[in-house]
Amino acid sequence: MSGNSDILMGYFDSLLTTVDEVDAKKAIVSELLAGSLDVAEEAAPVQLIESEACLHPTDTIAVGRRMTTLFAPRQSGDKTTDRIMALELLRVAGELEPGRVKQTVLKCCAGVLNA
Amino acid sequence: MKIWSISNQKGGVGKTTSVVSLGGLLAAQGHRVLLVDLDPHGSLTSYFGQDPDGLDRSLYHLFFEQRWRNVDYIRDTLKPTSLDNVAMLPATTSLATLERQVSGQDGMGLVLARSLAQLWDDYDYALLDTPPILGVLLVNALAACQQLVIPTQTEHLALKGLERMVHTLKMVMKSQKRELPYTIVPTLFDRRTSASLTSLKEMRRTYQGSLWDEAIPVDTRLRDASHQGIFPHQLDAETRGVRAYRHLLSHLHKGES
Repeated sequence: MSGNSDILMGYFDSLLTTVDEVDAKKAIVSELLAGSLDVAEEAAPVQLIESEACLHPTDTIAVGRRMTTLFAPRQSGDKTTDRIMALELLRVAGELEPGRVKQTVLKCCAGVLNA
Repeated sequence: MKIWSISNQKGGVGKTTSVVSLGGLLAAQGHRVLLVDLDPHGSLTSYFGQDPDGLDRSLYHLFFEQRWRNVDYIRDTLKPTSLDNVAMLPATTSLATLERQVSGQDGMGLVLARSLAQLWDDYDYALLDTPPILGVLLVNALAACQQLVIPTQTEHLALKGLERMVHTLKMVMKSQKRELPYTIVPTLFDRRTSASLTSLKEMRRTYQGSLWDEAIPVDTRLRDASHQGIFPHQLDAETRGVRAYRHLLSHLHKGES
C-alpha cells in the first residue's frame, strides 16, 4: 500500500471502530495482565524491578517455524495503527508461558491501549 | 430494511436525481421508503421544499449526545415528501462542520448505521444521498449500506471520480472485513455526443461485471420534476428517464436475490 492508502486506512479504521470494541479489548488486556501478575507473584514473590519491564534484544518467540525477535509496540503517532499493532502482539502474547517476557509484552500492550 | 447508498466522489453525476427517482419507483411498488440526505449542500432536502439553513433538526444532530439511540428523536427529525409512504431524513448546512467536530472520536463512522437500525421495521428501503467528498459522511453511508450504486456521468473526467470511488470502497470493505456489492450506473448519457459514447465504451472495458448494461439518458423532465418538488414518475411515468430508472430498479432487485 502507498503512504496515502495507509493514512486513509487508519482514518477508516478509526471511524469504523467503536468505543465499545476498544473498551472490550482493554478489558481483555487488563485480565491477561492481572492473570500474568498473579502467576508471577506465586512463582517468585519478589518485587518487580523497573529494569525487568523491558524486552531484551535476545527475547524471541516461535512464529510458525521461525524465531522472531520481540519488540515492544512502538508509538507510530497514529492511534489506530498503535492499537492494531498492540492487539496483534497481544494475540501472540496470550500464548506465551507466564514469565518476564509475557508480563512485559502485556504491560506494553496495556500502555498503548490505555493511551 | 434494505439500505442502498447512491455515491460518487464526483459531483454533478446525478446522485440526488437517482435517489429521488429510485425512491419514488420503490414507493410506487408499495414499499415504505426513507430517503437520507448526507450532503451538506442539502440538495435532496431542498428538493422536497425544506431549507437546509433553517431546520432545527437534521442528520447532523444525531451525531451528538448519542441521539442515534433515541428512536423518538430520529422519528421527529424526519420530514414528509410528496408521497405518503416516503419520508426524508434531512440535511442541514451544519453537516459541513461535522468532520472537524467528530475528528478523533472512534466509531463516528457508524452513527448512521445505528440510527437506521432504530428505524429497521419502519421502512422497507433506505436510500442514501451522499456528498461528493471523502469524509465522515461518505464513510457512514458506506458502512451502513448493503448495496452501493455509483452513478457516473458519461464523460472523461467522471471516469477519474469513478476510479477514486471504487478505490475508497475497496479500502472501506477491507476495514470492515466485508464485501459490498456495487453497481456502476452510466448517467446523463447523450448518444449524440462522442464524449458520451467514448466514455461509456471506456467504462464497459474497465468495469465489466460491475457496470449496468444500460444508461440513464439526459432527460429534461427529471429537472422539471425537481422544480415542482415531486417524484419524476408523478410528473410523467413514461418519460425516458423514468423508464430507464425503472429498468435500473429491476436490475438492482435482481442483485438482492
